[in-house]
Amino acid sequence: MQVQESIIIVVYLVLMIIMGLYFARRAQSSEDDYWSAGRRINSFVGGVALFAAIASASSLMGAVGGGVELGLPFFMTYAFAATAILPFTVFLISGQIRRAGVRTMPEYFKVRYGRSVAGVAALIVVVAMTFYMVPQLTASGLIGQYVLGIDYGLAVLLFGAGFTLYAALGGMWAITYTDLIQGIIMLGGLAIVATAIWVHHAGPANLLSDALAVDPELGSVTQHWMTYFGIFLAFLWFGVISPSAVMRNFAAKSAKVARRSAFIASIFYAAIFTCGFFMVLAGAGLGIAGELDNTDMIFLQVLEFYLPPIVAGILMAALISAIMSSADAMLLAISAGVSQDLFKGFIRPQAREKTVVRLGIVVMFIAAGVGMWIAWDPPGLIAIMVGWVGGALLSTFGFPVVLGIWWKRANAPGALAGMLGGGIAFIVLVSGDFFALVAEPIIAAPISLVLTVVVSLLTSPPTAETRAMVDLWHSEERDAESV
Amino acid sequence: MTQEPYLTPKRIASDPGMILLAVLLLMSAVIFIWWPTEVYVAEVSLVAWLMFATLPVSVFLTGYYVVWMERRESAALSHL
Repeated sequence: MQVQESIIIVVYLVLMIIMGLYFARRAQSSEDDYWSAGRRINSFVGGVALFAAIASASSLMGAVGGGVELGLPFFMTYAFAATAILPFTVFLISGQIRRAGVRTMPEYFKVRYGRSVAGVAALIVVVAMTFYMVPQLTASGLIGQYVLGIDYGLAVLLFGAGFTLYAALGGMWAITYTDLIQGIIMLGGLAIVATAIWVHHAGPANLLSDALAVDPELGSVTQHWMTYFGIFLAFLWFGVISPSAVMRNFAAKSAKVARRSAFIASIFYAAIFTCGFFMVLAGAGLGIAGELDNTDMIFLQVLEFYLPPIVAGILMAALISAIMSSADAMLLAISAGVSQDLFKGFIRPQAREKTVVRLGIVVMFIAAGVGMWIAWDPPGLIAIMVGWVGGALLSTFGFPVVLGIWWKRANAPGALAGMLGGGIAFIVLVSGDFFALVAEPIIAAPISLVLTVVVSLLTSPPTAETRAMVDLWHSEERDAESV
Repeated sequence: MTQEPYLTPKRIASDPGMILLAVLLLMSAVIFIWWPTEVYVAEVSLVAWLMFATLPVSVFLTGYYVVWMERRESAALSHL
Protein backbone atom coordinates (compact mmCIF):
# COMPACT_ATOMS: atom_id res chain seq x y z
CA MET A 1 0.00 0.00 0.00
CA GLN A 2 1.30 3.47 -0.93
CA VAL A 3 0.43 5.52 2.16
CA GLN A 4 0.70 9.09 0.84
CA GLU A 5 -1.23 8.32 -2.34
CA SER A 6 -3.87 6.45 -0.34
CA ILE A 7 -4.41 9.37 2.06
CA ILE A 8 -4.87 11.80 -0.83
CA ILE A 9 -7.36 9.51 -2.56
CA VAL A 10 -9.42 8.88 0.58
CA VAL A 11 -9.49 12.62 1.45
CA TYR A 12 -10.57 13.36 -2.11
CA LEU A 13 -13.37 10.78 -1.98
CA VAL A 14 -14.67 12.20 1.31
CA LEU A 15 -14.61 15.75 -0.11
CA MET A 16 -16.75 14.69 -3.07
CA ILE A 17 -19.32 13.07 -0.79
CA ILE A 18 -19.44 16.25 1.34
CA MET A 19 -20.20 18.20 -1.84
CA GLY A 20 -23.06 15.81 -2.56
CA LEU A 21 -24.44 16.47 0.92
CA TYR A 22 -24.07 20.24 0.43
CA PHE A 23 -26.15 20.21 -2.76
CA ALA A 24 -28.67 17.60 -1.59
CA ARG A 25 -31.34 20.04 -0.37
CA ARG A 26 -31.24 22.25 -3.45
CA ALA A 27 -31.13 19.30 -5.85
CA GLN A 28 -34.03 17.45 -4.27
CA SER A 29 -36.30 20.52 -4.25
CA SER A 30 -37.64 19.81 -7.78
CA GLU A 31 -37.24 17.48 -10.75
CA ASP A 32 -35.74 20.32 -12.79
CA ASP A 33 -33.11 20.93 -10.11
CA TYR A 34 -32.31 17.24 -9.71
CA TRP A 35 -31.84 16.35 -13.39
CA SER A 36 -30.94 19.70 -14.98
CA ALA A 37 -29.54 21.82 -12.11
CA GLY A 38 -32.48 24.18 -12.63
CA ARG A 39 -31.06 24.97 -16.13
CA ARG A 40 -28.86 27.61 -14.47
CA ILE A 41 -25.35 26.38 -15.33
CA ASN A 42 -23.08 29.02 -16.90
CA SER A 43 -20.54 28.66 -19.73
CA PHE A 44 -17.33 28.03 -17.78
CA VAL A 45 -18.79 25.68 -15.18
CA GLY A 46 -20.79 23.90 -17.88
CA GLY A 47 -17.77 23.67 -20.18
CA VAL A 48 -15.42 22.14 -17.64
CA ALA A 49 -18.17 19.83 -16.39
CA LEU A 50 -18.95 18.74 -19.95
CA PHE A 51 -15.27 18.02 -20.52
CA ALA A 52 -15.07 16.06 -17.27
CA ALA A 53 -18.17 14.06 -18.16
CA ILE A 54 -16.83 13.08 -21.59
CA ALA A 55 -13.21 12.58 -20.49
CA SER A 56 -13.73 9.24 -18.82
CA ALA A 57 -11.27 6.68 -17.50
CA SER A 58 -11.08 5.61 -21.10
CA SER A 59 -9.77 8.98 -22.28
CA LEU A 60 -6.89 8.86 -19.86
CA MET A 61 -6.02 5.39 -18.68
CA GLY A 62 -7.52 3.54 -21.64
CA ALA A 63 -6.10 5.74 -24.39
CA VAL A 64 -2.61 5.67 -22.86
CA GLY A 65 -2.77 1.89 -22.27
CA GLY A 66 -4.16 1.32 -25.77
CA GLY A 67 -1.48 3.58 -27.26
CA VAL A 68 1.36 1.69 -25.58
CA GLU A 69 -0.05 -1.71 -26.59
CA LEU A 70 -1.42 -0.96 -30.07
CA GLY A 71 0.86 1.91 -31.12
CA LEU A 72 0.79 5.68 -31.49
CA PRO A 73 -1.64 5.63 -34.46
CA PHE A 74 -4.22 3.96 -32.18
CA PHE A 75 -3.76 6.68 -29.55
CA MET A 76 -3.91 9.42 -32.20
CA THR A 77 -7.16 8.00 -33.62
CA TYR A 78 -8.57 8.15 -30.13
CA ALA A 79 -7.35 11.74 -29.66
CA PHE A 80 -8.60 12.82 -33.10
CA ALA A 81 -12.09 11.39 -32.57
CA ALA A 82 -12.42 12.45 -28.93
CA THR A 83 -11.44 16.06 -29.65
CA ALA A 84 -13.81 16.17 -32.61
CA ILE A 85 -16.70 15.09 -30.33
CA LEU A 86 -17.30 18.68 -29.22
CA PRO A 87 -17.38 20.44 -32.61
CA PHE A 88 -19.40 17.59 -34.12
CA THR A 89 -21.97 17.86 -31.32
CA VAL A 90 -22.17 21.62 -31.26
CA PHE A 91 -22.53 21.89 -35.06
CA LEU A 92 -25.21 19.25 -35.24
CA ILE A 93 -27.41 19.39 -32.16
CA SER A 94 -26.33 21.55 -29.19
CA GLY A 95 -28.32 24.70 -29.83
CA GLN A 96 -31.37 22.97 -31.28
CA ILE A 97 -31.67 20.34 -28.57
CA ARG A 98 -31.29 22.98 -25.87
CA ARG A 99 -34.17 24.93 -27.44
CA ALA A 100 -36.31 21.78 -27.28
CA GLY A 101 -36.58 22.49 -23.55
CA VAL A 102 -36.39 18.87 -22.42
CA ARG A 103 -34.47 17.29 -19.54
CA THR A 104 -33.47 13.85 -20.79
CA MET A 105 -32.85 12.11 -24.10
CA PRO A 106 -35.99 9.94 -23.96
CA GLU A 107 -37.92 13.14 -23.23
CA TYR A 108 -36.51 14.54 -26.49
CA PHE A 109 -37.71 11.41 -28.31
CA LYS A 110 -41.13 11.80 -26.68
CA VAL A 111 -41.47 15.42 -27.76
CA ARG A 112 -40.21 14.73 -31.28
CA TYR A 113 -41.55 11.24 -32.03
CA GLY A 114 -44.03 10.28 -29.32
CA ARG A 115 -44.38 7.90 -26.38
CA SER A 116 -43.52 4.58 -28.04
CA VAL A 117 -40.13 5.81 -29.26
CA ALA A 118 -39.46 7.42 -25.87
CA GLY A 119 -40.15 4.12 -24.09
CA VAL A 120 -37.71 2.18 -26.27
CA ALA A 121 -35.15 4.99 -25.93
CA ALA A 122 -35.43 4.94 -22.13
CA LEU A 123 -34.77 1.18 -22.06
CA ILE A 124 -31.72 1.59 -24.33
CA VAL A 125 -30.41 4.43 -22.13
CA VAL A 126 -30.71 2.34 -18.99
CA VAL A 127 -28.98 -0.74 -20.46
CA ALA A 128 -26.24 1.16 -22.34
CA MET A 129 -25.35 3.48 -19.48
CA THR A 130 -25.22 0.58 -17.03
CA PHE A 131 -22.72 -1.19 -19.32
CA TYR A 132 -20.83 2.07 -19.79
CA MET A 133 -20.18 2.23 -16.06
CA VAL A 134 -18.28 -1.07 -16.28
CA PRO A 135 -15.04 0.31 -17.83
CA GLN A 136 -15.15 3.17 -15.34
CA LEU A 137 -15.52 0.78 -12.43
CA THR A 138 -12.82 -1.49 -13.87
CA ALA A 139 -10.41 1.45 -13.91
CA SER A 140 -11.31 2.35 -10.33
CA GLY A 141 -10.73 -1.26 -9.26
CA LEU A 142 -7.29 -1.32 -10.90
CA ILE A 143 -6.28 1.94 -9.23
CA GLY A 144 -7.60 0.87 -5.83
CA GLN A 145 -5.83 -2.46 -6.08
CA TYR A 146 -2.55 -0.82 -7.06
CA VAL A 147 -2.58 2.16 -4.71
CA LEU A 148 -4.52 1.04 -1.66
CA GLY A 149 -3.22 -2.52 -1.85
CA ILE A 150 -6.73 -3.91 -1.47
CA ASP A 151 -8.54 -6.59 -3.45
CA TYR A 152 -9.73 -5.50 -6.93
CA GLY A 153 -13.38 -6.26 -6.11
CA LEU A 154 -13.25 -4.34 -2.86
CA ALA A 155 -11.77 -1.35 -4.69
CA VAL A 156 -14.60 -1.45 -7.24
CA LEU A 157 -17.08 -1.51 -4.35
CA LEU A 158 -15.39 1.37 -2.50
CA PHE A 159 -15.18 3.78 -5.44
CA GLY A 160 -18.54 2.73 -6.84
CA ALA A 161 -20.23 3.43 -3.52
CA GLY A 162 -18.41 6.77 -3.30
CA PHE A 163 -19.62 8.30 -6.54
CA THR A 164 -23.08 6.75 -6.20
CA LEU A 165 -23.50 8.43 -2.84
CA TYR A 166 -22.73 11.98 -3.94
CA ALA A 167 -24.53 11.64 -7.28
CA ALA A 168 -27.66 10.23 -5.62
CA LEU A 169 -27.70 12.93 -2.96
CA GLY A 170 -26.90 15.98 -5.01
CA GLY A 171 -28.23 15.17 -8.51
CA MET A 172 -27.09 17.37 -11.41
CA TRP A 173 -26.08 20.19 -9.05
CA ALA A 174 -23.55 18.04 -7.18
CA ILE A 175 -22.45 16.29 -10.37
CA THR A 176 -21.79 19.56 -12.19
CA TYR A 177 -19.80 21.17 -9.38
CA THR A 178 -17.84 18.01 -8.49
CA ASP A 179 -17.14 17.67 -12.23
CA LEU A 180 -15.86 21.26 -12.29
CA ILE A 181 -13.30 20.42 -9.59
CA GLN A 182 -12.52 17.05 -11.17
CA GLY A 183 -11.99 18.60 -14.60
CA ILE A 184 -9.54 21.17 -13.24
CA ILE A 185 -7.67 18.49 -11.25
CA MET A 186 -7.50 16.28 -14.35
CA LEU A 187 -6.03 18.90 -16.64
CA GLY A 188 -3.74 20.39 -13.99
CA GLY A 189 -2.54 16.94 -12.98
CA LEU A 190 -1.78 15.79 -16.50
CA ALA A 191 -0.02 19.06 -17.28
CA ILE A 192 2.26 18.36 -14.30
CA VAL A 193 3.13 14.85 -15.42
CA ALA A 194 3.66 15.95 -19.04
CA THR A 195 6.05 18.66 -17.83
CA ALA A 196 7.90 16.17 -15.62
CA ILE A 197 8.29 13.79 -18.58
CA TRP A 198 9.47 16.64 -20.85
CA VAL A 199 12.09 17.76 -18.31
CA HIS A 200 13.24 14.18 -17.59
CA HIS A 201 13.92 13.48 -21.27
CA ALA A 202 15.16 17.02 -22.09
CA GLY A 203 12.46 17.61 -24.71
CA PRO A 204 9.95 15.72 -26.86
CA ALA A 205 12.44 14.71 -29.58
CA ASN A 206 14.55 12.77 -27.07
CA LEU A 207 11.41 11.35 -25.49
CA LEU A 208 10.24 10.03 -28.85
CA SER A 209 13.60 8.49 -29.73
CA ASP A 210 13.87 6.91 -26.24
CA ALA A 211 10.43 5.34 -26.69
CA LEU A 212 11.20 4.10 -30.22
CA ALA A 213 14.49 2.61 -29.02
CA VAL A 214 12.51 0.40 -26.64
CA ASP A 215 9.57 -0.28 -28.98
CA PRO A 216 10.50 0.25 -32.67
CA GLU A 217 6.91 -0.62 -33.72
CA LEU A 218 5.38 2.14 -31.59
CA GLY A 219 4.90 4.48 -34.55
CA SER A 220 3.34 1.86 -36.83
CA VAL A 221 -0.25 1.00 -37.71
CA THR A 222 -0.81 -2.41 -36.10
CA GLN A 223 -4.53 -3.04 -36.64
CA HIS A 224 -6.88 -3.29 -39.58
CA TRP A 225 -8.08 0.05 -41.02
CA MET A 226 -11.61 -0.79 -39.89
CA THR A 227 -10.58 -0.85 -36.22
CA TYR A 228 -9.32 2.74 -36.43
CA PHE A 229 -12.34 3.88 -38.40
CA GLY A 230 -14.73 2.08 -36.02
CA ILE A 231 -13.12 3.75 -32.99
CA PHE A 232 -13.27 7.09 -34.79
CA LEU A 233 -16.97 6.74 -35.64
CA ALA A 234 -18.01 5.56 -32.18
CA PHE A 235 -16.21 8.43 -30.45
CA LEU A 236 -17.04 11.16 -32.93
CA TRP A 237 -20.72 10.60 -32.27
CA PHE A 238 -20.36 10.27 -28.51
CA GLY A 239 -21.58 13.77 -27.67
CA VAL A 240 -24.66 13.26 -29.82
CA ILE A 241 -25.64 9.79 -28.68
CA SER A 242 -24.52 9.57 -25.07
CA PRO A 243 -27.34 10.57 -22.73
CA SER A 244 -24.80 11.42 -20.02
CA ALA A 245 -23.18 14.03 -22.31
CA VAL A 246 -26.35 15.31 -23.95
CA MET A 247 -27.96 15.96 -20.56
CA ARG A 248 -25.28 18.62 -19.96
CA ASN A 249 -26.81 20.62 -22.77
CA PHE A 250 -30.16 20.61 -21.02
CA ALA A 251 -28.57 22.08 -17.88
CA ALA A 252 -27.17 25.10 -19.76
CA LYS A 253 -28.82 28.48 -19.25
CA SER A 254 -29.41 28.91 -23.00
CA ALA A 255 -28.34 27.66 -26.43
CA LYS A 256 -25.63 30.32 -26.41
CA VAL A 257 -24.26 29.02 -23.10
CA ALA A 258 -24.44 25.44 -24.42
CA ARG A 259 -22.28 26.41 -27.41
CA ARG A 260 -19.75 28.32 -25.32
CA SER A 261 -19.54 25.39 -22.90
CA ALA A 262 -18.71 23.07 -25.80
CA PHE A 263 -15.91 25.42 -26.90
CA ILE A 264 -14.36 25.49 -23.41
CA ALA A 265 -14.67 21.70 -23.20
CA SER A 266 -12.92 21.31 -26.58
CA ILE A 267 -9.91 23.32 -25.35
CA PHE A 268 -9.65 21.13 -22.25
CA TYR A 269 -10.00 17.96 -24.30
CA ALA A 270 -7.32 18.87 -26.85
CA ALA A 271 -4.98 19.81 -23.99
CA ILE A 272 -5.53 16.54 -22.16
CA PHE A 273 -4.71 14.44 -25.24
CA THR A 274 -1.58 16.47 -25.85
CA CYS A 275 -0.49 15.53 -22.32
CA GLY A 276 -1.58 11.95 -23.03
CA PHE A 277 0.79 11.83 -26.01
CA PHE A 278 3.71 12.40 -23.64
CA MET A 279 2.40 9.67 -21.34
CA VAL A 280 2.20 7.13 -24.19
CA LEU A 281 5.82 7.82 -25.15
CA ALA A 282 6.93 7.68 -21.52
CA GLY A 283 4.94 4.46 -20.95
CA ALA A 284 6.44 2.79 -24.01
CA GLY A 285 9.90 3.96 -22.95
CA LEU A 286 9.56 2.17 -19.60
CA GLY A 287 9.61 -1.12 -21.53
CA ILE A 288 7.38 -2.96 -19.07
CA ALA A 289 4.15 -3.22 -21.05
CA GLY A 290 4.71 -6.92 -21.72
CA GLU A 291 5.14 -7.66 -18.01
CA LEU A 292 1.80 -6.17 -16.95
CA ASP A 293 -1.37 -8.27 -16.54
CA ASN A 294 -3.35 -5.34 -17.91
CA THR A 295 -1.74 -2.72 -20.18
CA ASP A 296 -4.16 -0.10 -18.88
CA MET A 297 -1.98 -0.13 -15.72
CA ILE A 298 0.84 1.58 -17.64
CA PHE A 299 -0.71 4.95 -16.77
CA LEU A 300 -0.10 4.33 -13.06
CA GLN A 301 3.41 3.06 -13.72
CA VAL A 302 4.27 6.29 -15.54
CA LEU A 303 2.99 8.36 -12.61
CA GLU A 304 4.99 6.35 -10.11
CA PHE A 305 8.16 6.52 -12.20
CA TYR A 306 8.18 10.22 -13.03
CA LEU A 307 6.65 11.86 -9.97
CA PRO A 308 7.27 11.96 -6.22
CA PRO A 309 4.60 10.03 -4.22
CA ILE A 310 2.67 13.11 -3.06
CA VAL A 311 2.30 14.43 -6.63
CA ALA A 312 1.56 10.95 -7.97
CA GLY A 313 -1.22 10.73 -5.36
CA ILE A 314 -2.78 13.94 -6.70
CA LEU A 315 -2.54 12.54 -10.23
CA MET A 316 -4.23 9.34 -9.16
CA ALA A 317 -6.95 11.49 -7.65
CA ALA A 318 -7.16 13.10 -11.11
CA LEU A 319 -7.66 9.70 -12.67
CA ILE A 320 -10.31 8.82 -10.14
CA SER A 321 -11.82 12.22 -10.99
CA ALA A 322 -12.11 11.15 -14.61
CA ILE A 323 -13.80 7.95 -13.59
CA MET A 324 -16.19 9.54 -11.14
CA SER A 325 -17.13 12.51 -13.29
CA SER A 326 -18.17 10.21 -16.11
CA ALA A 327 -19.75 7.49 -14.02
CA ASP A 328 -21.85 9.97 -12.01
CA ALA A 329 -23.26 11.42 -15.24
CA MET A 330 -24.10 7.90 -16.41
CA LEU A 331 -25.84 7.14 -13.13
CA LEU A 332 -27.90 10.30 -13.52
CA ALA A 333 -28.90 9.27 -17.05
CA ILE A 334 -29.97 5.82 -15.84
CA SER A 335 -31.86 7.30 -12.91
CA ALA A 336 -33.68 9.78 -15.16
CA GLY A 337 -34.39 7.02 -17.69
CA VAL A 338 -36.19 4.86 -15.15
CA SER A 339 -37.89 7.36 -12.85
CA GLN A 340 -38.54 10.30 -15.16
CA ASP A 341 -39.03 8.64 -18.54
CA LEU A 342 -40.42 5.19 -17.72
CA PHE A 343 -42.13 5.63 -14.31
CA LYS A 344 -43.52 9.12 -14.79
CA GLY A 345 -43.85 8.85 -18.56
CA PHE A 346 -45.68 5.53 -18.68
CA ILE A 347 -46.58 4.09 -15.29
CA ARG A 348 -47.71 7.03 -13.15
CA PRO A 349 -47.86 10.36 -15.03
CA GLN A 350 -49.42 12.08 -11.98
CA ALA A 351 -46.59 11.07 -9.62
CA ARG A 352 -45.41 13.79 -7.22
CA GLU A 353 -42.02 15.38 -7.92
CA LYS A 354 -40.58 14.11 -4.63
CA THR A 355 -41.68 10.56 -5.40
CA VAL A 356 -40.00 10.67 -8.82
CA VAL A 357 -36.77 12.09 -7.37
CA ARG A 358 -36.72 9.48 -4.57
CA LEU A 359 -37.26 6.69 -7.06
CA GLY A 360 -34.36 8.13 -9.05
CA ILE A 361 -32.11 7.86 -5.99
CA VAL A 362 -33.06 4.21 -5.43
CA VAL A 363 -32.46 3.45 -9.12
CA MET A 364 -28.96 4.93 -8.89
CA PHE A 365 -27.98 2.50 -6.15
CA ILE A 366 -29.43 -0.48 -8.03
CA ALA A 367 -27.70 0.51 -11.30
CA ALA A 368 -24.39 1.04 -9.51
CA GLY A 369 -24.77 -2.43 -7.96
CA VAL A 370 -25.34 -4.05 -11.36
CA GLY A 371 -22.36 -2.16 -12.84
CA MET A 372 -20.12 -3.29 -9.96
CA TRP A 373 -21.26 -6.89 -10.42
CA ILE A 374 -20.29 -6.88 -14.13
CA ALA A 375 -17.02 -5.04 -13.42
CA TRP A 376 -16.07 -7.80 -10.97
CA ASP A 377 -14.85 -9.77 -14.02
CA PRO A 378 -14.39 -7.16 -16.81
CA PRO A 379 -14.94 -8.48 -20.35
CA GLY A 380 -12.04 -6.58 -22.04
CA LEU A 381 -9.59 -3.68 -22.19
CA ILE A 382 -11.09 -0.38 -21.01
CA ALA A 383 -10.75 1.31 -24.41
CA ILE A 384 -12.42 -1.62 -26.16
CA MET A 385 -15.36 -1.73 -23.71
CA VAL A 386 -15.91 2.00 -24.21
CA GLY A 387 -15.75 1.45 -27.98
CA TRP A 388 -18.51 -1.17 -27.76
CA VAL A 389 -20.88 1.05 -25.79
CA GLY A 390 -20.21 4.03 -28.06
CA GLY A 391 -20.83 1.83 -31.09
CA ALA A 392 -24.08 0.46 -29.67
CA LEU A 393 -25.40 3.95 -28.90
CA LEU A 394 -24.40 5.24 -32.33
CA SER A 395 -26.12 2.30 -34.01
CA THR A 396 -29.36 2.94 -32.12
CA PHE A 397 -29.65 6.67 -31.32
CA GLY A 398 -27.32 8.44 -33.78
CA PHE A 399 -29.55 8.97 -36.80
CA PRO A 400 -32.94 9.14 -35.06
CA VAL A 401 -31.54 12.01 -32.92
CA VAL A 402 -29.92 13.96 -35.75
CA LEU A 403 -32.67 13.42 -38.33
CA GLY A 404 -35.23 14.44 -35.70
CA ILE A 405 -33.57 17.85 -35.65
CA TRP A 406 -32.57 18.25 -39.30
CA TRP A 407 -35.27 16.40 -41.23
CA LYS A 408 -38.87 17.30 -40.47
CA ARG A 409 -40.13 14.30 -42.44
CA ALA A 410 -38.59 11.86 -39.91
CA ASN A 411 -41.43 10.24 -38.00
CA ALA A 412 -42.05 7.79 -35.14
CA PRO A 413 -42.14 4.54 -37.18
CA GLY A 414 -38.93 5.58 -38.92
CA ALA A 415 -37.16 6.41 -35.63
CA LEU A 416 -38.35 3.16 -34.07
CA ALA A 417 -37.18 1.12 -37.07
CA GLY A 418 -33.82 2.92 -37.06
CA MET A 419 -33.26 2.36 -33.34
CA LEU A 420 -34.29 -1.29 -33.26
CA GLY A 421 -32.75 -2.21 -36.63
CA GLY A 422 -29.42 -0.54 -35.82
CA GLY A 423 -29.40 -2.05 -32.33
CA ILE A 424 -30.14 -5.58 -33.56
CA ALA A 425 -27.53 -5.29 -36.32
CA PHE A 426 -24.95 -4.17 -33.74
CA ILE A 427 -25.74 -7.08 -31.40
CA VAL A 428 -25.54 -9.61 -34.26
CA LEU A 429 -22.20 -8.20 -35.44
CA VAL A 430 -20.63 -7.97 -31.99
CA SER A 431 -21.74 -11.46 -30.96
CA GLY A 432 -20.76 -13.06 -34.27
CA ASP A 433 -17.21 -11.67 -34.16
CA PHE A 434 -17.35 -11.07 -37.95
CA PHE A 435 -15.34 -7.88 -38.06
CA ALA A 436 -12.23 -6.14 -36.90
CA LEU A 437 -12.26 -5.02 -33.27
CA VAL A 438 -14.94 -2.36 -32.49
CA ALA A 439 -15.77 -1.92 -36.19
CA GLU A 440 -19.46 -2.91 -35.83
CA PRO A 441 -20.97 0.61 -36.15
CA ILE A 442 -19.48 0.92 -39.65
CA ILE A 443 -22.25 -1.45 -40.74
CA ALA A 444 -24.90 -1.07 -38.01
CA ALA A 445 -25.14 2.75 -38.09
CA PRO A 446 -25.84 2.99 -41.86
CA ILE A 447 -28.49 0.27 -41.41
CA SER A 448 -30.10 2.52 -38.79
CA LEU A 449 -29.89 5.51 -41.18
CA VAL A 450 -31.46 3.64 -44.10
CA LEU A 451 -34.26 2.23 -41.94
CA THR A 452 -35.06 5.62 -40.39
CA VAL A 453 -35.27 7.30 -43.82
CA VAL A 454 -37.07 4.54 -45.74
CA VAL A 455 -39.66 3.73 -43.07
CA SER A 456 -40.33 7.46 -42.50
CA LEU A 457 -40.95 7.96 -46.22
CA LEU A 458 -43.22 4.91 -46.42
CA THR A 459 -45.42 6.04 -43.53
CA SER A 460 -47.43 9.18 -42.72
CA PRO A 461 -45.49 12.40 -42.17
CA PRO A 462 -45.38 14.00 -38.71
CA THR A 463 -48.18 16.40 -37.78
CA ALA A 464 -48.04 20.08 -38.75
CA GLU A 465 -47.49 20.91 -35.05
CA THR A 466 -44.44 18.65 -34.87
CA ARG A 467 -42.98 20.17 -38.03
CA ALA A 468 -43.56 23.68 -36.69
CA MET A 469 -41.89 22.69 -33.42
CA VAL A 470 -38.79 21.45 -35.27
CA ASP A 471 -38.69 24.77 -37.13
CA LEU A 472 -38.69 26.62 -33.82
CA TRP A 473 -35.68 24.61 -32.60
CA HIS A 474 -33.75 26.27 -35.42
CA SER A 475 -34.93 29.76 -34.60
CA GLU A 476 -31.86 31.82 -33.75
CA GLU A 477 -34.17 34.80 -33.21
CA ARG A 478 -35.41 33.07 -30.04
CA ASP A 479 -31.86 32.99 -28.70
CA ALA A 480 -31.32 36.59 -29.68
CA GLU A 481 -34.40 37.56 -27.68
CA SER A 482 -33.06 35.77 -24.61
CA VAL A 483 -29.52 37.20 -24.81
CA MET B 1 -46.63 37.76 -46.41
CA THR B 2 -45.94 34.16 -45.38
CA GLN B 3 -42.76 33.81 -43.36
CA GLU B 4 -40.22 31.35 -44.72
CA PRO B 5 -39.97 28.25 -42.51
CA TYR B 6 -36.73 28.03 -40.53
CA LEU B 7 -35.77 24.59 -41.76
CA THR B 8 -35.54 24.56 -45.55
CA PRO B 9 -32.84 22.89 -47.67
CA LYS B 10 -31.51 26.39 -48.48
CA ARG B 11 -31.33 27.30 -44.82
CA ILE B 12 -29.73 24.00 -43.89
CA ALA B 13 -27.03 24.50 -46.55
CA SER B 14 -26.27 27.99 -45.21
CA ASP B 15 -26.34 27.00 -41.54
CA PRO B 16 -22.96 27.70 -39.87
CA GLY B 17 -23.10 24.33 -38.12
CA MET B 18 -23.63 22.48 -41.38
CA ILE B 19 -20.86 24.40 -43.18
CA LEU B 20 -18.34 23.75 -40.42
CA LEU B 21 -19.52 20.16 -40.11
CA ALA B 22 -18.69 19.73 -43.79
CA VAL B 23 -15.17 21.07 -43.10
CA LEU B 24 -14.75 18.66 -40.17
CA LEU B 25 -15.98 15.68 -42.19
CA LEU B 26 -13.84 16.63 -45.19
CA MET B 27 -10.76 16.73 -42.97
CA SER B 28 -11.67 13.29 -41.56
CA ALA B 29 -12.38 11.87 -45.01
CA VAL B 30 -8.99 13.01 -46.34
CA ILE B 31 -7.22 11.24 -43.49
CA PHE B 32 -9.18 7.98 -43.68
CA ILE B 33 -9.19 7.76 -47.48
CA TRP B 34 -5.55 8.74 -47.92
CA TRP B 35 -4.43 6.67 -44.85
CA PRO B 36 -0.66 7.10 -45.39
CA THR B 37 0.54 4.30 -43.14
CA GLU B 38 3.78 3.58 -44.99
CA VAL B 39 5.10 7.14 -44.98
CA TYR B 40 7.10 7.76 -41.81
CA VAL B 41 8.06 11.07 -40.23
CA ALA B 42 10.46 10.79 -37.28
CA GLU B 43 9.82 6.99 -37.33
CA VAL B 44 6.10 7.51 -36.72
CA SER B 45 3.50 6.81 -39.41
CA LEU B 46 2.34 10.02 -41.11
CA VAL B 47 -1.26 9.02 -40.47
CA ALA B 48 -0.65 9.37 -36.72
CA TRP B 49 0.81 12.86 -37.13
CA LEU B 50 -2.07 13.92 -39.35
CA MET B 51 -4.57 12.85 -36.72
CA PHE B 52 -2.61 14.65 -34.01
CA ALA B 53 -2.64 17.81 -36.12
CA THR B 54 -6.45 17.80 -36.14
CA LEU B 55 -6.62 18.62 -32.40
CA PRO B 56 -6.05 22.40 -32.74
CA VAL B 57 -8.20 22.42 -35.89
CA SER B 58 -11.16 20.97 -33.96
CA VAL B 59 -10.76 23.59 -31.24
CA PHE B 60 -10.53 26.38 -33.80
CA LEU B 61 -13.64 25.22 -35.66
CA THR B 62 -15.64 25.11 -32.41
CA GLY B 63 -14.52 28.62 -31.43
CA TYR B 64 -15.24 29.93 -34.92
CA TYR B 65 -18.76 28.50 -34.75
CA VAL B 66 -19.44 30.15 -31.37
CA VAL B 67 -18.40 33.57 -32.69
CA TRP B 68 -20.27 33.11 -35.97
CA MET B 69 -23.52 32.15 -34.24
CA GLU B 70 -23.31 35.00 -31.77
CA ARG B 71 -22.82 37.49 -34.62
CA ARG B 72 -25.86 36.07 -36.39
CA GLU B 73 -27.89 36.35 -33.20
CA SER B 74 -26.79 39.96 -32.69
CA ALA B 75 -27.85 40.71 -36.26
CA ALA B 76 -31.20 39.02 -35.64
CA LEU B 77 -31.65 41.06 -32.46
CA SER B 78 -31.01 44.30 -34.30
CA HIS B 79 -33.82 43.39 -36.73
CA LEU B 80 -36.36 42.72 -33.96
